[in-house]
Amino acid sequence: MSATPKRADHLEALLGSLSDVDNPVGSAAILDADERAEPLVAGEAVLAAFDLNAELVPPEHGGRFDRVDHLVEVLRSVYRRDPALGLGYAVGSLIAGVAVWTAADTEQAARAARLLLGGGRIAAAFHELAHGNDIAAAEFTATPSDGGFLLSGRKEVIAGIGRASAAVIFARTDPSPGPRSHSLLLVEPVPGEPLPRFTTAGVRGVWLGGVAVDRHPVPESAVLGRVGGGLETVLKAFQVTRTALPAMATGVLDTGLRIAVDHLSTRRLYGGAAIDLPHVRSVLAAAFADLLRAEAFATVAARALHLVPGSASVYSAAVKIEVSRLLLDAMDRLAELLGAHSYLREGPSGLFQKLLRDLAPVGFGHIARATAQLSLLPQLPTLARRSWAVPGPVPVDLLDLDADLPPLRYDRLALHASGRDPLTAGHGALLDSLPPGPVRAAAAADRAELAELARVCAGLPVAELGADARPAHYDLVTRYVLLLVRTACLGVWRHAPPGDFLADPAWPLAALHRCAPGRTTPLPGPVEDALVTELLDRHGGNRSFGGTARPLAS
Amino acid sequence: MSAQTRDLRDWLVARVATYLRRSPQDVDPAVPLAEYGLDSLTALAISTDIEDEYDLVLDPALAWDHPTIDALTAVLTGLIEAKERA
Ligand SMILES: Cc1cc2nc3c(=O)[nH]c(=O)nc-3n(C[C@H](O)[C@H](O)[C@H](O)COP(=O)(O)OP(=O)(O)OC[C@H]3O[C@@H](n4cnc5c(N)ncnc54)[C@H](O)[C@@H]3O)c2cc1C
Repeated sequence: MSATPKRADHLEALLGSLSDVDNPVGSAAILDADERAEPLVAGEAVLAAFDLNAELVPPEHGGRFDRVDHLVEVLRSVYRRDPALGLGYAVGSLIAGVAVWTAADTEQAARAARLLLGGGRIAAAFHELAHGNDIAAAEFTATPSDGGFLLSGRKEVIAGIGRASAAVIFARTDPSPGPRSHSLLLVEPVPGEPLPRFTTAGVRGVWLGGVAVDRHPVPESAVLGRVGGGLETVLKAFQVTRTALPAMATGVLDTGLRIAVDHLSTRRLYGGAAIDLPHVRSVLAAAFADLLRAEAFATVAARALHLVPGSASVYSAAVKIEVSRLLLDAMDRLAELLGAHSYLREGPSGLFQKLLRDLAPVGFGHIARATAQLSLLPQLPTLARRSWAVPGPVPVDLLDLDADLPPLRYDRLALHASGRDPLTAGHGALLDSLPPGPVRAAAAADRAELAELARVCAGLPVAELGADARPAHYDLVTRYVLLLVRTACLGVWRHAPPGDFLADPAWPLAALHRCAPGRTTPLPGPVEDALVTELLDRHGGNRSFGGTARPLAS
Repeated sequence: MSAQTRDLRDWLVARVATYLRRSPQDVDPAVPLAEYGLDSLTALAISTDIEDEYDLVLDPALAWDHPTIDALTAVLTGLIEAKERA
């Protein structure tokens, strides 16, 4: 899948083998740091040597952040080992960064780039504990004063704010309610008094802090974009991170699956290897298929940011909703297979319990899954009218993961897609283009599903699609997102290079089977066999279980 | 107010009334849409409806910067005139 950038292999090699007890960034060291709730210092040193911050800065500002899918592939090497290392070292700066690249003027962007390329961090101070996902209710204020602003208020539960040299702060600049009452400010150094650390169940090595700020003066030049444009910038810029963060987190399931296969192939139960038990095989095959499905969809969505940025509000929300769900559910099922070994904090499978805890924020952090569903709801009627009911061509450039990508145009991200969803519009043409066979047959029912969804959604009453929407309306979002994922999987399969496992019908058949409306039965035998064979082959050859089947450090 | 502007405003009132499931008489063009319970994301839906009706291409944030029907009417009148001149 999408030619892995060489630098991802380089980072993979620098980080080394998880199972090597002498590796300062191996499992033993990672678990040790987690027990102490401290960052993995040796891991941070590797990321610094690799100059990971350059991955967060666009090329026009001197960095290497030219493609979202490549950024994701690089950071997957970190998430395969220690999500706390990724969150603590890079994610705050990534989130703050996309806001800067979206809204800043050239001088501000150059300043942020210099700071990051010099090894500094920028904290992303958006949320307030009191308001959670209701970001428009944020109370931290920036009051105009003497040609600049006075900052007052609290930001809490902010990753790495104590170690950051600057912060991007989401602040209220107008006391009246509404979408034009907030602004973003790039403030250097971080203002105010530090708050005590918040402790957490997972990502324990990340220092979650906060600040209390009282009438801290900043110049007018601190404002990113227009005064009052804060919410708009957040909703646009975070389309990048709401795609990229769940996409990176597939590295967690990759390692979870490896730990499960390691454990179950050596464990003997009822006179044989546990991995030969039909139920065990079935759960492993399904988790593998879910990982491929998650990566295929996330990669298509990452490509969409480059190719159809005006539609990325839809695909990024869908990634947040479905990729995070797939990962959380698959890890839970693997935990059942591992049983007590999913719970022990030591031994060869000891990393699993940490990965399970560290993965949880993928579902609620940086927008909750339910809030992402809510963000799609008011778009359904226009999407239905403009795209679902109006067949378009197969969006080959989205689906051919090896095809080139144009630069990321932050200025073309939009608050909503204006009804443009080229992936679903191309659904009919894509089905028509499939070779006759079991995949095409399995996908046929989706034509009726799309027609029905388009009919129901076109007539939805807009005023009932706000925060107090009925659960039945949320279910329509779920159906739509599943259809998007199935379409992406079919397209990725159809356009995969021959010989690649992504061109094998087993995985799209499994993907279709596992998210067909109302079906929960086990995978058909031959599909399961093909997946287990591939899984074990990759396990033996020390290759990743995701779309790229990359060689891993040994 | 020109006849065209009146038509446009009446169309917007009717559209918003449909969103809100109330009668057009109960929609005051001077009142921000938010006060009728259209939250910031749902209010954005109106721009695509206007695009379809008047064959325009609009900024997706239109309803955020012009939060009442009167304000929308004013900005759209200008856009429609500019389009007719072009
Ligand atoms: C490890 C970690 C790191 C963090 N780092 C940062 C950081 O660097 N910067 C930063 O700004 N913040 C950060 N945060 C804060 C965090 O991202 C936000 O506070 C969080 O997204 C919202 O908080 P909440 O879960 O309490 O939200 P709430 O809004 O209270 O949501 C709780 C739950 O309510 C439900 N819900 C909410 N809204 C809806 C809706 N519209 N419809 C249906 N259901 C709904 C959902 O199930 C949701 O999960 C971090 C948090 C953690 C745990």
